[in-house]
Amino acid sequence: MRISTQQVYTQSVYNMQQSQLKLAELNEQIATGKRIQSAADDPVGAAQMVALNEELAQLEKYESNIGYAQNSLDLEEAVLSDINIAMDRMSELTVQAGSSTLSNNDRESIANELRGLTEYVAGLMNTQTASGEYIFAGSQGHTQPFVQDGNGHYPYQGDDGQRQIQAGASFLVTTGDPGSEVFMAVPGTLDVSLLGVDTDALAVVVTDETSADAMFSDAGDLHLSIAEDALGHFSYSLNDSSGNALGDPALSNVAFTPPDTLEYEGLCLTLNPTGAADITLRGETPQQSILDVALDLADALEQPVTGSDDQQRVSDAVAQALSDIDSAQEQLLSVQTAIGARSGALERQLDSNQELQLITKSTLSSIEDTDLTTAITDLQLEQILLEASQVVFGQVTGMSLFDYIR
Amino acid sequence: MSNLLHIGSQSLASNSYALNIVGQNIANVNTPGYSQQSVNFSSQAAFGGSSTSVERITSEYLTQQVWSDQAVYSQADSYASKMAGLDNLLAADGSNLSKAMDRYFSALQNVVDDPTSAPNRELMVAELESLANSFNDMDRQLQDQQAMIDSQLSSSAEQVNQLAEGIASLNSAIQQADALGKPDFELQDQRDQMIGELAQQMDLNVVEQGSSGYSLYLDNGQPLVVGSHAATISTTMSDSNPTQTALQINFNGQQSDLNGGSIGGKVGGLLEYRESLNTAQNEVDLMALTFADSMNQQQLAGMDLNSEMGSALFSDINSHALMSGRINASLDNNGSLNRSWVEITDANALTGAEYTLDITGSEAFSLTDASSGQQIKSSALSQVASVADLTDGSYYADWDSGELVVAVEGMQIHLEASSRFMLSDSFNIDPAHDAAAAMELILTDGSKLALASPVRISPAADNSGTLSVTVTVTDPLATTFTSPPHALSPPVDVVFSNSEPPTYNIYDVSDPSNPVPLELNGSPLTDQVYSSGEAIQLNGFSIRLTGQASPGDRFSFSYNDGGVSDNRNVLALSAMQSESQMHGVSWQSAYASMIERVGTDTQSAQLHSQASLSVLKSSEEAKASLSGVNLDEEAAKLVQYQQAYQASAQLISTSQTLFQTLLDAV
Repeated sequence: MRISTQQVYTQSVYNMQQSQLKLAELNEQIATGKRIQSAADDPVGAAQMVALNEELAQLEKYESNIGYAQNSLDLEEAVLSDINIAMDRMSELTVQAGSSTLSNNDRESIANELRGLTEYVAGLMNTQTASGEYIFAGSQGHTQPFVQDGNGHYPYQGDDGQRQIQAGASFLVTTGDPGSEVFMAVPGTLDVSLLGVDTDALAVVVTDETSADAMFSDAGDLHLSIAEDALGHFSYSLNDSSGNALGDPALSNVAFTPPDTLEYEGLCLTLNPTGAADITLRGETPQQSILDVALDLADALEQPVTGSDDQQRVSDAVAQALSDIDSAQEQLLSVQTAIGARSGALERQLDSNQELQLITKSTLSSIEDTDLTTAITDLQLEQILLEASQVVFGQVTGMSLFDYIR
Repeated sequence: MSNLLHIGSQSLASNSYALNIVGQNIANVNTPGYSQQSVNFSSQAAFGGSSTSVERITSEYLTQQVWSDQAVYSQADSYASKMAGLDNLLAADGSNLSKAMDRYFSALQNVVDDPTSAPNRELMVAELESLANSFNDMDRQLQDQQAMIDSQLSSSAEQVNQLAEGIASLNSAIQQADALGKPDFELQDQRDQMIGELAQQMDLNVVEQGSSGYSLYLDNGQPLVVGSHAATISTTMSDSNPTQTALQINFNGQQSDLNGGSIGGKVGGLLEYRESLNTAQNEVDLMALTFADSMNQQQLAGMDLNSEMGSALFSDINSHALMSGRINASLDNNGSLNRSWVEITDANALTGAEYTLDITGSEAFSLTDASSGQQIKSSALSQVASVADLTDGSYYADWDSGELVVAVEGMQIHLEASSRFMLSDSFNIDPAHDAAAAMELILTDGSKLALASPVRISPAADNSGTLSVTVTVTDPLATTFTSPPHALSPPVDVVFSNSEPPTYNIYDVSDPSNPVPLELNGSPLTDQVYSSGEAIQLNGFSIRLTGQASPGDRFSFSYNDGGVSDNRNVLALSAMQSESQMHGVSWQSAYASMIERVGTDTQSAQLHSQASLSVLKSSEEAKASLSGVNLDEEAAKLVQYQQAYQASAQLISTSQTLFQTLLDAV
């Protein structure tokens, strides 16, 4: 086998270049700590890295979401426990106010303290975040939820929206509760609204709230239809929400002469139609907040007691207030319990997110990180090879027959 | 005695010539392509001394082998090195679109946490802007690659032309030298060298054709050089994509197209790379298109900080320029079009393919998926009577006046000619064309981000069932939201009855004191049987109730005026990250599989390039070991011929001495 002089040079140079290339690659792997410098180094690994990095970015974001949610829940919890303490005081005052030994002045000072507490609680219920968002306004974060109206009451101005935050891949946590849920917990009196175009034909008075309430929650909306035949004779039918006649015997096509009254399950209906009419009766129990309860009580206490009738009025008001404060506190407690449960769930989610992060990071590292031991060993081996090539090159090219021809 | 003198001078001349050859060999030890020459001595009859002839040591077989290995290697090398660039572009942290999406979706989570925060909203706008920029940048880089291919193709064409011209003229020069009986080895070496360089550009078949020298043919049989005639290669606009360069070969006035499959060499590698680049470009465009569209749709379905319905985030995917850029009439068409455009009707249904629409009959056409070859014939689609009736999988045609609208796979292709379409005219369709370049954020005010849902849900305070409700806006342009704006028209109540199973009525509560049953498509929504989890479709939005209903339970739906703290719409935006968005997968997994595909192609191209380099090396070595100059060998020959020269001179001297001796003796 013959070898040309050019070959000697090109071959050696090629070999040394290859060695240097490998050295450069290893050098980069060691310097950056990354095994995969481009997707071509490990296409499957590179695609996995995209997915893992996406997952990691999400997990990190979930972690900060959880922090945010935790803060909101903590703020809500702190406000609620302040309100709870204020309610305890209201409760105490109410019990005091029930004592028959109090003078009008005493009652007035209790009423004053109640008004002060009301203002304090209203302030808490209108708590804003640092960025000015009302935390108990539902979705209406820029609307003050409890504003005193002309009648001295505090109707709720917000809505029922609740914000959910992503705490895990498939775990949304509710970060706040609307004021309607937290505070509007004291049932008011049953209100029957009449819907339709002919509502003038009917007047309704609630005579027995308990049975009317039970009836409405059983029957849904009632429908009263009044018919008038060609001779001017009237008849009515009273149906439940699914169209079945109510009453026993059934109140169906009952002839009557207006004006007429009808007693049904705690309702007194006065029918005074001028023609055929179709009316929907809807029973609604509006909810009120502790603010209205305290203010109503204060109003009652401020009226001077002169006789036993007044005494009775005061003790009725006190009894009503006690039971209302109770309902309000009960609701507060159940919201606080829910907040606690959410906090707990968040903590568990945080733990599992962190665990997942750890796993994802270690998977990512096993895919993309350089195995330093192997890389450094390879580097040294390659160095030795390069040095050897260099030595050989020097020796091979140093030999020439021309040196010996004199 | 005169014989001796004759032999001596002959021998002197022979050896001196041999020494010249040695000199020539030594002088060309580093000349690329030089084949060593050797002197053959032969004895002459009856004291005739020796005569010499020179031979060029080479092997046609080995040379051919080097040429063809060269073509294979330079194709593999040019493809691999270009692919490595693409691979880096897609996967590098700075340009990686998946990372840009990670950053965007992370910013999105901030507004999920606190939608009222102005800084959070501005951050989201900034990330949207940066994401759009990432798409624009990616597109620009890919376009630069396309431009680079175009310019390299034309410089390759120029080089091929020069080499072919050179080889053709060498063919005739060599032929003339041969005819004079003085073969010119150096010209032959030069020609071999030039063919080698040509083989780097394109794969060649080299045929030795007697006296006319070497003829070169391309792999598909097209002649490049025949004798002293050379073809010219020119660049022209590609028929299927007017923005790209195509190659044409012209031999003796015969013009024909060169297509990528069989060209080989560097040019073949470039064309192969262009295929990969086009695929990547399509994928990036489709990603941009579906992203902009999905985000826009969801943004339109929401409500902003000022309680207005959302407006589009990104520029319209169906702008005039984009729609008409998606379709190109083939240059060979006989008919001409007045207008043509492609409208995307459902971005998520796009397959990412490019199509060719061919007129296959006087009233027939076919649509071919360019990558899979799958064909949809007009006979397989239903014909509808008006454009308004079009649904996916149908077409509208008014053949006499030359109007055709085809609705398939998420798009509507519109063609308008002034008369009937011409048979075998064809049109190229690229539905995602330019989407990444055109992606532009048009919403720049953070307060205009529609993070809230426009529908407020208010359960009655005294509901006793366990129902929970969600609302999905299905058509933000429905009259419910648009007339008048800032209101839900009409607001509705869902009221449950006491039937078993539970039923509900839906009322229009425009007048709260007189609810009337809501009518949908002419029928009132009364006594509807409730089934938990079922969506109730109303005009423009749907309601989904889940749980246990109690008689009298009531839910009111109204416009979410002032709902600044609501984050329902942005939750839906955020959920898109993991939803399937383009050909059945999420954006980021589509991107990951693109990286994987390009990475695999790059890896195998690199392996192929290394393997073909080894093959080339070994065939070059085989050739070099035969034809290359070895200095030690030449040194030995130098000594050998020098000594012979000295001996020959001695012969003459001896002959002279002999003659002198004779003269002296006389």
